[in-house]
Amino acid sequence: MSSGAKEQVGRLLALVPLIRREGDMRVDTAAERLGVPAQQLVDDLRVLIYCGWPGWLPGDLIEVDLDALDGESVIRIHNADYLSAPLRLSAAEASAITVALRTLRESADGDTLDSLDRALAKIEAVAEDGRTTPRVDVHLPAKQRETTALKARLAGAVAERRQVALTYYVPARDEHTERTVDPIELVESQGMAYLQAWCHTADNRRLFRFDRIVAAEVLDAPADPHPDVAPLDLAEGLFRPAEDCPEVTLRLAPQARWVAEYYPVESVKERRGDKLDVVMRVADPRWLNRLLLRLAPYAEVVGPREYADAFTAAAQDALSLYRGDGA
Amino acid sequence: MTKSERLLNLLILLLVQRHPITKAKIRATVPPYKEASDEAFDRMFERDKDELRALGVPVELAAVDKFFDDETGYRVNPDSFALPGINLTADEAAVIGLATRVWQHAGLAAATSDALAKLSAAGVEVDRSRLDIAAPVVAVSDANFDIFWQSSLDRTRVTFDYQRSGSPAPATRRLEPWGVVSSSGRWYVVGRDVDRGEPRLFRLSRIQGSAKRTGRGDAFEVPEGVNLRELTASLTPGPATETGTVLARPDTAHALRRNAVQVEAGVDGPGDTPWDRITVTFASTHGFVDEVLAFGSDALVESPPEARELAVSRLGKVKGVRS
Repeated sequence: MSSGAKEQVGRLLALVPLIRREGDMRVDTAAERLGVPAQQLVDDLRVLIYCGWPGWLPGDLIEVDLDALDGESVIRIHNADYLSAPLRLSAAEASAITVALRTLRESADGDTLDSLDRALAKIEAVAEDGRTTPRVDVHLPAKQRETTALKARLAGAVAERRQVALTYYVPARDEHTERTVDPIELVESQGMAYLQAWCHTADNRRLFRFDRIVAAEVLDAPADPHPDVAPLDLAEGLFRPAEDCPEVTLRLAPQARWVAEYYPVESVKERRGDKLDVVMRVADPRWLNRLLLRLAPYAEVVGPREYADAFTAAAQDALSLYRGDGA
Repeated sequence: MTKSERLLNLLILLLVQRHPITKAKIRATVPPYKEASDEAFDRMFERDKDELRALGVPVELAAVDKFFDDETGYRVNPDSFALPGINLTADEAAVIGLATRVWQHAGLAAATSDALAKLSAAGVEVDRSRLDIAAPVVAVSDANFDIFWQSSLDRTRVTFDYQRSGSPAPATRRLEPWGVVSSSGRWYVVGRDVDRGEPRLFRLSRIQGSAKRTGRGDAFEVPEGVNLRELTASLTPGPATETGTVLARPDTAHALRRNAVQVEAGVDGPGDTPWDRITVTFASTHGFVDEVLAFGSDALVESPPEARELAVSRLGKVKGVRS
């Protein structure tokens, strides 16, 4: 918590009512109840003795028993009847706590979900005073419940240094692959969660996207240490195709312009008709073909020729299925 | 008087008075105000008032005498100052401590823990140590987040340069921010675009350089009934209400199978080999066709007819394809 005057007053507006409500209290008990370091509470109390009823004559001031505070570490406050209820939640506090609870809801189940629902309704009722509508909101990705459970399991495997048997979907090849990995860390980038791990099948470091993990079983076998694996540079984005991958130029119609933001591109050029030319490096031609089919007919290959031909042939094959002449 | 003492004493002064108290009277009463120059007092008082409001203190401006409204003063109504009584059962109190683990952002985490402190003071026994539930984490990595969050709280206008998707140069925007929203890990700000006079949504990662707060707080009102969740519903795919079927070759189209309602093996399809019929639900026909087309000659849309027609027409428009 910050040490500014405003924050100090905020803390006092919780501390005074707590003591008024429950009577004398040990400093460490109050600190724990309020989630504030004990020393900070003691410092806050030293401000309180100069505050009180306007006029601020000795009898007007709030009384803090400093002997009890210094001697027995007990907080004793008198002459503060007007501060017997805590201050209501500010817009920031009401927004932060209600949205945090709603977010928890998305990944909870059973009894916890039930308790959260009831707690949330009560807190919304006291936060709702006609003025404070939340100023922050969170839409979680689909399948959050599964992702959160998977994350907890994989975080456990990282912490305990245990191997994991993964079934992982590789979209470029439309294949489920089985592999044993040594988990290194969990990484988050652009709203996607990944497991970074040493893959024994590839004998190299790999990133596994959570939503493509079909199954993950934590094994009893200990994971091998990999001290030489360099940390990932997240600032540059997780996926940068190698420099030696061939460059392909695509022309994107407006419906396909999102590609320029979603994938790393080498360059971008505006074209007539709101079209966009992008140059990207392609590690696996099968990946490019799937992307182009998904975008059909809103993206075309400007060059090299062999990629354009492969896409045309794939589209022709797919179309023949609907004509009944394909096999 | 230290600043903390001055703020707390101002609050008590406004809280214990029966009637609104004029600015002049406040100045005459509080020693640091009395000792300051006119200009310094004005600045100090305005800032103190704003800080109390930011804490949640309802500082109101009202007529000093209810029969004459020519003189106004300030007050804090004890009823609207106090947190209404709240009674949580033990299990309810046990789960709210989890809220502190959601935000990976200093400001939001502090606001959550301040809220819990107030609830504790109101008698709720918050448990901050529960670790048996995996909590989702909401992280903030955008440099401009704090400016928009703060400005939506104190209602200050913000100016920034925004790079629209794929457009060549950024354009300067002026916004009255209503709130910030995270969708699938990306942050957006919602508000009224001052130049266009309409609600708009901006993705924080597309803002170039630093956003700037302009002018004073309380510069605008968030329109009555504005609900961030409704305004930003377009960010998340709608509910999957349509049903479609896909024919796929065995052991292909795994991404479709993962979300399938039903998979039926050994059905007839094009050619002599058996196919699997995969039944899925979807929200938009275009999105459904996108998914199926990605599998090339391993999968085709069987139904509904409009999706099948769309697939045929899209494939037929690919450059070089004979249709």
